[in-house]
Amino acid sequence: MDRELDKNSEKLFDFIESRNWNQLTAQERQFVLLHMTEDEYHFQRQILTEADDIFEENLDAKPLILPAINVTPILAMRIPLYQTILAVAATVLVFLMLWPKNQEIEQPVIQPMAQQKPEIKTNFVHDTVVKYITLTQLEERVVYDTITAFVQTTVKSEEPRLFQANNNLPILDLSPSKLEARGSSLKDENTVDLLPKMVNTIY
Amino acid sequence: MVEIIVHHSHPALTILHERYSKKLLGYFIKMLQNDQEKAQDFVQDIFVKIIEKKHLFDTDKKFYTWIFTIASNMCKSEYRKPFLQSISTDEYELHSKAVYSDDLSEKERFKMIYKASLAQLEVHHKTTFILRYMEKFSLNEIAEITETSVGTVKSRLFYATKKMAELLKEFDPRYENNLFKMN
Repeated sequence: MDRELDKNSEKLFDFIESRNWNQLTAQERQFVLLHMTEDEYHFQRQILTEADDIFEENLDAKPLILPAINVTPILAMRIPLYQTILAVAATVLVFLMLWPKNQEIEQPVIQPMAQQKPEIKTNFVHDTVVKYITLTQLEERVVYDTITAFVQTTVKSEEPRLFQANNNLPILDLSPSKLEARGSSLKDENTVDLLPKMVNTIY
Repeated sequence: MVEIIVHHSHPALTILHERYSKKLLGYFIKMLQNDQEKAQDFVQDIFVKIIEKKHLFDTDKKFYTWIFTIASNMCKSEYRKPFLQSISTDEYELHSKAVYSDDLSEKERFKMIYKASLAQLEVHHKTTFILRYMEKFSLNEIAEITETSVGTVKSRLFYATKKMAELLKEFDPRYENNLFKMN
């Protein structure tokens, strides 16, 4: 709402300041008439025009008098009040911290002249001192740990034989009777002696 | 200009004074209800302030607008004092009647009531109005001086003019007054 009012006032300002009523379009005139009459529009423009002549500026300013610019000496410097208060407070605080709280006033001890200083005899009594020493014992601890090992075993499947024998094959009779020597042995042969000669002849 | 401010030389400040003092004096007179003595003091003070606040000067900006920013702030501070606040409606009426009783020409009377009306404006409206229509600053410069937006400046100018029209209604042409230079 306020923004709308501002926009309207800005628009009206633009018209009043820069354009005569005759220079406004019909639409612009309609907009202006929503907020003021034509006479008011003229009058506001005239007020702006008159502003120039209201004050007669024939006055001259007085000659410039500047304060002397000197470097302020330390002793003449102005310190703000709060800084002074802070400095005093800090000094008091430091003083209180450093000053002993229970200061004992040393008073001279007046001793009677007759009183003599007692002789102090020191006896040393040697005694057995039992010292308990705590020894640090190293404790050995066995930690049983389970290590899982994987053993890989390869089971070879039985390879099929090339020739699979059938059960119907006849079983050879290998009884001793069958294995008896039936022929004549060469050990009893007379011609055996001739064999090496024959071999040599061949090779 | 920057060198003048930074090096703080008196001859340079005298040049600045020669250049701007009259303009500043006029502005202060308008802002301070025509109090010429106070306006003269303000001109002196502003040059002291320039020396004190030279480190605040933005070299990218115009010196002219900067010096008027300081001047506007000085007036704003002065308006915070109770005795220099905008005059009340009753005081305005009294002032207007006094104007009537005097043997003044119509034009003189108009000027006096115009000044009284201007004095009745709120300080931010008055500052904007004077800077625009009497000191001839651009809208952007006023926005810079018053540290507001151009939109706000326009809005303030519209309301200031409206208020002035209300206060000066007796001079409205509808009341058959031929005072104005009709354009």
